[in-house]
Amino acid sequence: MDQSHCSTDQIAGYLDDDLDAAGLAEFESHLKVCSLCSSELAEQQRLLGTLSSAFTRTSEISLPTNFARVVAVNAESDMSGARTASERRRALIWCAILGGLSVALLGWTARSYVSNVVRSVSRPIGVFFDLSWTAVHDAVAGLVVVLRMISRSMIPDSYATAAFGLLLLAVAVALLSRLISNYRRLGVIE
Amino acid sequence: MSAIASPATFAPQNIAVDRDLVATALAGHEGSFEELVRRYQRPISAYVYRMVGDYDAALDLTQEIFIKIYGSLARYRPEFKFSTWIYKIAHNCAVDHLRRHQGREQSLMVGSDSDAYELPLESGRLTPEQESERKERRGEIETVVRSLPAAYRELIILRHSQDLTYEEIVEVTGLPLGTVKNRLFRARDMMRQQFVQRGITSM
Repeated sequence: MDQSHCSTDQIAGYLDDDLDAAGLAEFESHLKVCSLCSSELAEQQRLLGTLSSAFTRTSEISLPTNFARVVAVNAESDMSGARTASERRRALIWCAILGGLSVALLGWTARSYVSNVVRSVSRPIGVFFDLSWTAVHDAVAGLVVVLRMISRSMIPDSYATAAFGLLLLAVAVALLSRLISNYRRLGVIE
Repeated sequence: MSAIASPATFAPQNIAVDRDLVATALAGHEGSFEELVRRYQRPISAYVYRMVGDYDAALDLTQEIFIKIYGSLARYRPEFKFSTWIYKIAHNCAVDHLRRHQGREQSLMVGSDSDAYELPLESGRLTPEQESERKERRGEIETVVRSLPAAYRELIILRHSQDLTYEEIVEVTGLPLGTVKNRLFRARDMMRQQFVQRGITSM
C-alpha cells in the first residue's frame, strides 16, 4: 500500500466519510508517506470547499411570495391529479349526472320556446304527409276501379263459352309444352 | 407554520412531519399540501434551476413537479423518505425537460463566460463590494457546473448542493452505487481542471 497510490475510490471515500475503520487507518498511514496522494487529496478538499461555499450561498433562488399557495391551488384543481381510478370514475359519474341535470333544467326553463319550435316544424311536415297520403289513396282507388272494369269484361256470358275458353287454354298449354320440348331436343342435337 | 426546510435539515423530526403532512393531505386536509410545497419549494427549485439553467423554465418545471407530486401522493410509501421520493420525481421531470430541449442542453454543455447569466439570489448580509466580488466568483463556479454534461452535473448538484447521501442519489437516479461514485469523481476532476484554467482557488 505504501508503495502504490490510492485508488480514486479511496480518496472519494475518505472525502465522503465512506471508509470503514480499517480502510481509514490504511489510507491515513499511506498519506503520511505519499506526497502525490496527499496533494491529490488536498486539491480535492479545496475543490469541495469551494463548491460547498458557492453552493451554500446560492442554494436558494428567489421565488414569488405566494408560490406555494399558487402551486397548491393549481395542483388541487388539476383533474389529471385525481389520485386513484375509483376517484376518476366517481368524478366522471358526477360529471355525467351534473351534465344530464343541467340539460334537463335547461329544457324545462326553455320548454315554451322548444314547444313553439317543434310545433312550427311539425305543421308543414304534417301537411306534406297528409297530401301524400291523399294522393296515394286516390291513385290506388282509381287503379282498383280500372281493374274491376277489365275483370268484369273478361267474365263469360254462358257456361258454353266458358267451357270453350277453357278448352282453348288447355290446347294452348299443350302446344306450348310440346314446342318447348322440341326446341330443347333440337338444341341437344346441334 | 413550520420553518422552511433546506436540504441540510432532513432530520428525523422533519421526516415525521413530512409523513404527517402527506397523511393529512391525503385525508383531504386543506393546507397540508401547501405546507409540503412550502417546505420543499426552495431545494427543489434550486435543483431544477441548476439542472435546466433557466429561471422561468425552472419555476414552471418546479410547479409541474409539485403537481405531479400531488397526483402521486397516494402512491407514496411512508417507509421511504419523502425528500428522496420527491427528488426522484424532480429528477424524472428534469430529465424529461432536458430531453425535450436537447438542442439547448447541447449549448449548456459547451457553456462559456459569454453565455453566463446572473443568478437570481436572495440578498445576503455582505457589503455591496463583497457581494459583487462573490457574485462574480459564484457566477464563474456556476458556469463551470453548467458546462458539465447533464449526467455529471446532476450528481454534483445532488451531492454538493442538495447534500444527498450516496444511497439517496442511487435511489433518486436509479444508477448503481459504483457508477454514482465513479461519475462524481470524474465530475470533480473535470471541475478542478476548469477551476485551475479560470484561476479559481476558493470563495
